[in-house]
Amino acid sequence: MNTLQTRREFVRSLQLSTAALPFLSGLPSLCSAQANQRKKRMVIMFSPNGVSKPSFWPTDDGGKDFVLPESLKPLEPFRDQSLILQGVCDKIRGDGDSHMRGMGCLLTGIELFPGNVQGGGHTPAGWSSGLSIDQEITNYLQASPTTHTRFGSLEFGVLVPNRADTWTRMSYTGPNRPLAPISDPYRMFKKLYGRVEDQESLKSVLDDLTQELRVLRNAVPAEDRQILEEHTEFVRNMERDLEANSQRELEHAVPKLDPDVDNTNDRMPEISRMQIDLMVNSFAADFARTATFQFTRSVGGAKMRWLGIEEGHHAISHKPDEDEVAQEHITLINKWYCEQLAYLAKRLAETPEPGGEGSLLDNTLLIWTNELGKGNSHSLDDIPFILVGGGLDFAMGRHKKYDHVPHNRFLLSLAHGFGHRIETFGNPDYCGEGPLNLT
Amino acid sequence: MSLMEDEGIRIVHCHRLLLGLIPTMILVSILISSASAAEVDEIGSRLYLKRCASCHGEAGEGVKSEYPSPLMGEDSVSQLAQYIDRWMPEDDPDECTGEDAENVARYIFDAFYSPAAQARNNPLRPVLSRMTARQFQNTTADLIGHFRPPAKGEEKEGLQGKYFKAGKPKGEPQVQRIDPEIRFKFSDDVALTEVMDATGFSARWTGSLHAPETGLYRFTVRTDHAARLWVNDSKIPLVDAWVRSGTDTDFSNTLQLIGGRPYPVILEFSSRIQGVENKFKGEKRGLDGFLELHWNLPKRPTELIPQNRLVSSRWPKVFVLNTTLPPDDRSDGYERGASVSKAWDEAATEAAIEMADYVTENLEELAHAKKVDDDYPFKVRRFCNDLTAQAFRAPLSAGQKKFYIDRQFARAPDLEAAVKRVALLTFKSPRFLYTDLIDPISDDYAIASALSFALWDSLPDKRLLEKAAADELNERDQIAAEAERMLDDYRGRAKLRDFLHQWLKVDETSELSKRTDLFPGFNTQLASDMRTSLDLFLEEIIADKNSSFHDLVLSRELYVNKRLGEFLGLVPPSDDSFKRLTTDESERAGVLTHPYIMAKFAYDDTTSPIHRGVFLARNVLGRGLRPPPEAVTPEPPELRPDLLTRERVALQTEAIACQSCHSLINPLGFTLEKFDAVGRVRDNEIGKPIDSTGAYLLPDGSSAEFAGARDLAEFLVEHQETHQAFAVQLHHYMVKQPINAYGVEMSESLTKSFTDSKLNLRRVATEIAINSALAKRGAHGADQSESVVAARRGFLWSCRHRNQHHTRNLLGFFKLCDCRKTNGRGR
Repeated sequence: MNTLQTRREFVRSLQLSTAALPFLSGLPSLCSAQANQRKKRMVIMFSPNGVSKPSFWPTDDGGKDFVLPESLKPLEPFRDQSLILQGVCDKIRGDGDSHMRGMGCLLTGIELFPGNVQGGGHTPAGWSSGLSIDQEITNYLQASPTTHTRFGSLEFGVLVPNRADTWTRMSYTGPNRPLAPISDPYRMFKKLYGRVEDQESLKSVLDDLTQELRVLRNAVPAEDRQILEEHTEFVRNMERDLEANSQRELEHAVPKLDPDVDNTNDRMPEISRMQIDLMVNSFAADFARTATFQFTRSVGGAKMRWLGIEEGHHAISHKPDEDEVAQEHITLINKWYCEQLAYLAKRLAETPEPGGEGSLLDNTLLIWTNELGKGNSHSLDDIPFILVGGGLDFAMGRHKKYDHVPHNRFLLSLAHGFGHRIETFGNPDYCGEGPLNLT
Repeated sequence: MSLMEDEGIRIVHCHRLLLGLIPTMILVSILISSASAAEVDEIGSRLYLKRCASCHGEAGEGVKSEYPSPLMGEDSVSQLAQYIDRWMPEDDPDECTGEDAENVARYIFDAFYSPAAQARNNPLRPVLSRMTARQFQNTTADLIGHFRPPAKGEEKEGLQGKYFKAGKPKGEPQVQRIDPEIRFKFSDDVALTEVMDATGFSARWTGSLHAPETGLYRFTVRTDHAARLWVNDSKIPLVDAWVRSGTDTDFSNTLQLIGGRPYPVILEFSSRIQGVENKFKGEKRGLDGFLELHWNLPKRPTELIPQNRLVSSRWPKVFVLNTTLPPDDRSDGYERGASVSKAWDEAATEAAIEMADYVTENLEELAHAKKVDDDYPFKVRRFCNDLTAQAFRAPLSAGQKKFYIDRQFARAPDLEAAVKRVALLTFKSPRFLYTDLIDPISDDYAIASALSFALWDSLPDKRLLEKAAADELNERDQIAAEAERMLDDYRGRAKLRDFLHQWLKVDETSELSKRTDLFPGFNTQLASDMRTSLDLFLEEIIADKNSSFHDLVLSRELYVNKRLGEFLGLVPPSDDSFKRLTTDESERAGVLTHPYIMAKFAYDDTTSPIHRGVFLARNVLGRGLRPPPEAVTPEPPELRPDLLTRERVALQTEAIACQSCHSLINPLGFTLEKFDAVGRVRDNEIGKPIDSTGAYLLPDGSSAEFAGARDLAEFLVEHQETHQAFAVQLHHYMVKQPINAYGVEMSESLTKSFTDSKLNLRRVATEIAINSALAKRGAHGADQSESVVAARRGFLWSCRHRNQHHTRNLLGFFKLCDCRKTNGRGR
């Protein structure tokens, strides 16, 4: 339905030159009206199966003088723009095993409904009973004309399997309303730039069409000529409008994707890169202010052969702490995910904020998280929340240690960071003293 | 609400002063002329030029400063004469009277006033027309459908059900059967409980469902376990409740469908725990689940999908255009595409993009090729050629192939871009968008196209194009055989059904509502039942090739379910499925008195003899009616509690200005007074007996009298005006060109053939299609050059290259081509 809506807007916008504005309003040159107000953005990046604690968490007690452990090394260039939150716990209980709750309650902060999906233990469960924080914030931003964007939020995925269950969905627009990420970069491209593509294709055939209309006009009896003449006039008008549109279009470059990248395990690094490039482009064009970026799924079993790891991620994560090879592999895997985070940060840092101050990274907060704290114990304590960027004015360049604070309070601080001062989010029992003070 | 406010009234050119003309019944022919016809015309012509032309123009075309409207209309010579005698010329009405007035009237009637004179002076021809919205939707569906396989599997009412012990409906089924409808309480199902164990089971139903109307459907799966539903798409489920979550039992979603077509459907159910395969797998879930499949037809209440809409065979997916096309011009009383507008061009562009996207996204499937194969580019190009030829309803000429295919491939950066260019150019081309721009390769393709648009509002199918390619659409009986076949297809039936809806003025589904204090039990469900009852009857009529107009108008049969049967006071069937009953109600007369029609042509509290009479006069008898001179609000019954509806209507329309039309409308409408505002039979109103007598004034001035509805219906089926009105309206609905464009005598000859066929409904539809097709014969030059034959051959091949069982015909065709060449046969 969505693509149709946009296609309709596109065709209409061709015909009414003033109506071209909503289509173009995302373009930098036309954003001056909003320039005074700083844009704020947020990306939530997910990778599964917990971490190897010794190589992930800094060993100090918190503060500015932390050393990035092996898993987090790729963040070195962004050390001063990073905030490492330790001791934040997912306290939501109820139906579903830890992987399911880890995923379904991670961004919603509320219990799963009872249901028919059975995990590796505990009771069966269904979907989350509330919406997720990214959607809560998106709804807030979309409600105001100054922060409204074409899509509001974008859900990127990398190798998320094509099935809908509690393990594959972390964003929810409401209770029982999971939101599917788009794992195929070509599909995402179409969603973002389909209209521009349509416009180009249409332009390419209009000359020929005009020529054919001329041939037919001359071929039909005189009485039938008028209807074809009127028809020709509409085609000419469309050609003119397309021409005018494409002049304005030049101001925003459409990214080029490598062709023929399959949606397969071994192409994961390329897919990740393509999705990141598309995400950065859509922020530059102000298509959306929030995004999620989901690698595989809870219990995901990516085989990172490019790191020399043949075994699936989930299987490795179950191995005991004493298994040194396994711990090393988990470290390598998380380091690879951290590299993706760093690449995203780098691309954002390189891109100047259109019509604003600094870079995109200065106005974007990246949050890297996980459904578990530790894979072999299925612990929901110490859920990783690694933050990069200046989007929400948090005090960065720190390692912050908490003593078992519920993650609902962190979700609240994200809303507050956007100026959305809600008192509770998810299950109110875990919102105790309100948002964590991160500024 | 003003009277006739909902009528799509066409304003006819009419002499300002003729409007108040005295009704025909009191007109007497007063003159017996002794002069010969030529002399009359001679005298009349001289008188006209001398006395009338200064205001009316030499040929009655009007004079701008005096009387600008042209002199044309439907009055008879004697009516005209009387008028002239009394009123003309305006400055001195005594100047032209008696025999002079008669001569002038005769002259202007013959020269330009009468419809026949108009048709003679301004001969109409079929005008170049674009596809209407209905045609566009059907054409795009069939164009894509051309590249998909035919229906598979056994054709039985209901869905094919397979039941499995496993949690997912895969592997060898334990039970296999046809389930007539999806309404289960599994613990009561002995066939299942005997086989399955208490840990639950899964099931899968496949087949197709028939969508009667075009519009937005809502599908609802009701279950306390897991289920998912696919409709018209085997990849993305329309309803996905495979993850059970919480206590909801209703899961629904909407889908746009084109009416009259079958759509593939898959439904899956599982009562077993899903997810991790471990010790929990064996947990007892029992066979206690329930599952139901419901739908809402567009703007209708929810109902279980009835058995007669489900079929066990698997039809291919249908391309349903999402783009909404603007409504078509209906000012001539039927939809036609004789004009273009900006809104239409925008929508057509949007549709072209939608289709081009669809084609590129489904390229492997449609081109029957795999990306990885070496011959992929070849097959894709061949597909493009087929697509464009199919869209243009004729093989591509060498020039067209170069322009639409080769040139686009040469200019595009890659294969996908090339396909997109070809598709966009093709779908934006007038050769696709207009119904009759068939390239003059031969008449046969134009004939094939005329047939399929008349009968289906769509493209010719494979077989019809094969007939065209084989030069087998020349003779009338060849065309007739195809027309008969096509009328029996689901698309032909859908078109007839839609026509009957238009004829009965029920084509727009507006919700019927009645005052519940007066009509307890009448609610949206019941209104919907009435509509279903009407549609089942119409479908039965259409399905039977022997059905006649008699059956339509005189049948005493009614389809009722329990609710409707009880409401109407009939002996109802015991459940909510519909059964056919023969009523013993003496006044019932087919569709004319069908409860839905009676309730529709009524207010929410009383009947409306005017609405009923207008329907009878205009649609059934084909009488032109002018709009009322001013909007009139009907008098509320409360103000005249002592009057019958009939008396109140008569009182309100008694003025002379009203009577010119209401003397026709009211006595027709009154005959239906024994049917109340909700379609039930009644004998009394406000405690007084109903008077359902009525009358109709025949063109010859005599009057037909009716005791009631049945009497009227029996008169109508024998009456020539009724036959003509039905045949002409059907022509307009099917062909979308004025009937006079096919010759001034077409209306009469079509009516005659309808009457002669004992009013056989399919015969008249076939006849109309044949006539519109035959009009294409000789329209094109008889170019039988070698290149044309070669192009035909190539096209034929492309039609059949996936259709191997036709090989024998193919050989026959080549032989035929050779004969043609040696004979040098042309038309």
